[in-house]
Amino acid sequence: MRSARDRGWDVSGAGPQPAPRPAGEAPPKGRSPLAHLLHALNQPLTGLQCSLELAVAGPRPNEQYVRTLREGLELTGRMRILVEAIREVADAQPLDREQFEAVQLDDLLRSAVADLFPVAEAKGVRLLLVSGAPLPLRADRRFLTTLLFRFLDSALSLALEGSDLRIDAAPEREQASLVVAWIPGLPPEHSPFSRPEVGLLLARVGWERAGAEWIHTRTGTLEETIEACTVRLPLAPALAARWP
Amino acid sequence: MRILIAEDDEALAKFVRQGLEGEHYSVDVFPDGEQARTAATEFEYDVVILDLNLPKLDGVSVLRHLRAKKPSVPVLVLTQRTRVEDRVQCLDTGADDYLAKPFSFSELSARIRALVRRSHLPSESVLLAADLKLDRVQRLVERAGRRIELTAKEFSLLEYLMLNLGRRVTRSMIIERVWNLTFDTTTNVVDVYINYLRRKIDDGHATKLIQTVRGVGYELSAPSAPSAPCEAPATEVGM
Repeated sequence: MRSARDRGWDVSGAGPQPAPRPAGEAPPKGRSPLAHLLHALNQPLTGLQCSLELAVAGPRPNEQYVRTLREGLELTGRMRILVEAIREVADAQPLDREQFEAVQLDDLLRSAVADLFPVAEAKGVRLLLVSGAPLPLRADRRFLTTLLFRFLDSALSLALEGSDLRIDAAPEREQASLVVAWIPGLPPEHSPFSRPEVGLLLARVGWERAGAEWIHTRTGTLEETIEACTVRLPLAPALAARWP
Repeated sequence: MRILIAEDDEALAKFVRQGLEGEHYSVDVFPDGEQARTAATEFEYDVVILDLNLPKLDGVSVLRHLRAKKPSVPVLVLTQRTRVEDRVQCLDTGADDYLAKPFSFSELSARIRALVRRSHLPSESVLLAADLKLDRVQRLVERAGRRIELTAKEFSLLEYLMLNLGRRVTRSMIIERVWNLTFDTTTNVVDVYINYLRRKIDDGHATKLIQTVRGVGYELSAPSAPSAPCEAPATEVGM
């Protein structure tokens, strides 16, 4: 298994360089997460409506009704995921700064990676965490812990089996830079509205809610694509002053 | 078992009622907060299912009243909200569990079973399931007298399964209680940890305690007779 750097990944935090041939469908740009999710909801909803209309249109063999019900349940399950996501985005409010405390992003990262390590191992994905310097933040610890888990959990789901998922965290002037990069596997079922892709979208919403900048890129060649999400958020002011 | 449902959506209340009656619960449905508060105060219920957005008197007010009058009755709150803060507020107000709409009936049913069991359990420091013993204070686990090393997460997972001994728990319930997350993960993190736990708890024993409930989740069940170790006992290794 080759490492991300062996593969020539740019995980410096400055953002991957555009490749001559972008591969696959780019992550949603120019459309708000809410609009993206509402668009996604149309698909299973239309499917369900058509399926039910066909079922009541005339007498059908019993097995067809059973199939319609099963399809309906599957479509409802997909809609439930999307409705939950829509609600989460719609309900998002600014974080309560009174809940903020001193937290170390690097510590939280190590903990999230340790939690997901067995999952990565089972999938044959190597989790590479590169985090040397401390990354002090003022943040809602619980919110950040949940957000990190969701972010890495979604990226891990999308990573190609047997590949590396690289996580680079480093101070960058007065900001903490977090870059998560992976080689995507086959597009998941219902892509680009699959559960892990929706999870990544919700992670983006969460990071932006936390005051972070979010950049999602997909670069590489047709043979090998690299997907990377870069998050930059301010270091705790007093501690950031120590960095040159 | 008698369940009170406070839900103003007639169709939803009807489906839930039908489903629970099919599981042999006796169910009373009330469409507004005032009626629900009166009934919950005057009659004995094993579980109260409370929608937060009720006409006449909101669910939070009903919950506060209920907690003052009947602190031990298990309350499951149904809500439209999914934010972590809302969940925390709900539990702080006195709810025992929380389920965001839209939900599946199997999820609701599993949570009710867990609540009923929890309300009948004393807060034991040592949990037992056949020859498996978990000491919540000493943080020790033994099976058939042999010490088993678990990681913190595995310990929490086993503790949760043992607290729900003989009851199925869904993946969502496990994620909420053990990982403290309010969303379904996209990886199979629960299944992977269950596998780790199985290797440590069940390997080398004829009786397997951790069962998979297909399409739902997991259940830790303990047959009455203690299990005999297999001929080749498993090596117990920490992660």
